[in-house]
Amino acid sequence: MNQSNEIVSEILEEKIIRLSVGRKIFNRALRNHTFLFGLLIIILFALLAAFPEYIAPHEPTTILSDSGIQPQSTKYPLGLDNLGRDVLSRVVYGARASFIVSFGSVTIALLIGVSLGLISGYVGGIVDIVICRILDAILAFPILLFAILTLALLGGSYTNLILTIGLIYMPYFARLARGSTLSIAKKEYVESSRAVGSSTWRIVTRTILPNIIVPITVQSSLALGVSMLIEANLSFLGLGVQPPTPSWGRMILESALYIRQNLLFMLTPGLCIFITILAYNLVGDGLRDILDPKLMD
Amino acid sequence: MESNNKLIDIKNLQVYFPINEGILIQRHRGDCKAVDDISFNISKGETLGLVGESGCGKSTTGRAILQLIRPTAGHVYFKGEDLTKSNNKELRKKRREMQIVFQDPYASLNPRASIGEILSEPIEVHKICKSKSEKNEYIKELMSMVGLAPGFIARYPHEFSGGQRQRIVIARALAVKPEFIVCDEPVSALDVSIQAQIINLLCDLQSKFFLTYLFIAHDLSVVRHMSNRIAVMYLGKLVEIADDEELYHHAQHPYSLALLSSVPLANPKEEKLRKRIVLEGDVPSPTNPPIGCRFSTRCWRVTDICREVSPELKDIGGGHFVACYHL
Repeated sequence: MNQSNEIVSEILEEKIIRLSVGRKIFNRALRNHTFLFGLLIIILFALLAAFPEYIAPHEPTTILSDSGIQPQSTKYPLGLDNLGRDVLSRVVYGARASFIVSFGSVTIALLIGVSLGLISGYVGGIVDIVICRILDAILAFPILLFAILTLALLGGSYTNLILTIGLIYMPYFARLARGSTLSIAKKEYVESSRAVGSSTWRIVTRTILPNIIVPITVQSSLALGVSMLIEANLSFLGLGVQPPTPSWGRMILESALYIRQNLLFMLTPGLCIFITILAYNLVGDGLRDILDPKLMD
Repeated sequence: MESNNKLIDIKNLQVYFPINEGILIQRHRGDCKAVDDISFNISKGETLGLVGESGCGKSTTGRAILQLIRPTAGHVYFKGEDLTKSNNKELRKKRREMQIVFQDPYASLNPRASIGEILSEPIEVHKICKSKSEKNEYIKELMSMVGLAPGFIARYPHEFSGGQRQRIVIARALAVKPEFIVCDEPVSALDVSIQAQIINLLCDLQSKFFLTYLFIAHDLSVVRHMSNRIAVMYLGKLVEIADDEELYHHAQHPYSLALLSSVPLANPKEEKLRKRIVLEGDVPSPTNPPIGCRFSTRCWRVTDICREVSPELKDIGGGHFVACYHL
């Protein structure tokens, strides 16, 4: 009797556990309000970036008034910019530049950085020394100076922006991945993978990578914010996305002379940058809690 | 002829960890002599207990046999083949025949992998099963073999107790159907009540699969229960090897005597009569060990020759080897 009870509870347990591996993370995400709030904001901005033509009232490049700048009115809720274009529409379209550049550059930084970090941390020796010196060399450049240099030479296009920011941010991922790899590689479970006879490739991808993925995920969401800020900075300096394509950073630059005529021309893109970066950080913080395996119970 | 039943034969094994100084231009400043010139062998189906205090090189010996740490010098013959000469690729294949159970079951399981994934690793690496369903069946079989409910297959290591985790570690080692397992203090991280279960499990598995163990421990009573022969190690050197009972009743080396005298006895009357040999001083540093006998700094029988020439292991009859001048 007792035994059969045990078996029944075992079977029940198995079903519950089977379901819950992915579901646990999902449930924990649902309960994490910081994360949900951040995610909601990001989704909203992502919608702006994906379908601006359905959301924006006007074309971003159409000149609606010959007299140029206008303050907010019922017709133009955020007013017109110095060339008479609708600020609201330009803010909506500007989300696209921010998203493309931030996701593109973080993807590049992530791929290159994490691979380099894993190699450097696991292989060690001379390979590690060489990779680390290269990373140091990149880090030694002031971020903006480096970006200004490359973009001034190559010209500001999406590809160049993504590559430049990705390269600038890559060493941070590489260092994080290297540090985590170093600490994980010393663990007994990595040694036991070796003892079992796994290849280096399998150990790195199947044992080490899953164990360093949490700090990297958190870092990526924070990096999205930083790269967006760099993009805004560069655009503000006139090196980012080239006009007439709207970009939040560039809008702030253009609005600087017209604060008195239309305050919202400057405030709105600034707020958009602020809110998206905040959202990325909230998501990053939330992910750190959600993905922590020790809190899974 | 003799080598036929020797599964493992270790000749002059040395593991030195270099101590380097400097960042770019590294200078060799010395070595940590973790294992210094030891030789012994293990026969098929035998359990050799390896005892000694912390830091004497027991675990390093175990890892060096499996080539998880490459020895500095010496040879490890596994079925007559020198493992120190095989490259990493050949070794990976050999790992099917030799496995290790680590000391700390909390550290030796990947916290990001479920039990099923942990147990699939050896199966996939050595292509033991042909299909996915066959693999699942095999994993469940392994789990029940070590006394775990197969229903736990999707669980993660942190959901298990220390004893259960150690069972998983043992199941992983068994998955490749090895002949030889190094048990690196498999029970010292566990509760005493659990220790007995795990030891009995290891004994059962040994008789079921004709396993050969190198059983590393610092707890002499555990080793006594498990082993056929016992080797005593001190500061990277073997000081005595003998059959189980022989060592317990007729230990010769002063260090073995001191070690044995530290084991409490179950009978309170005998326990009162037990004379403890309390050693003075500390273990010397393995970076700068004594020139002669490693134990000479703490030995009560020490004479001039001990301090100058390191004693060799000598056969004193019946497979009992001792490295001491004063017997």
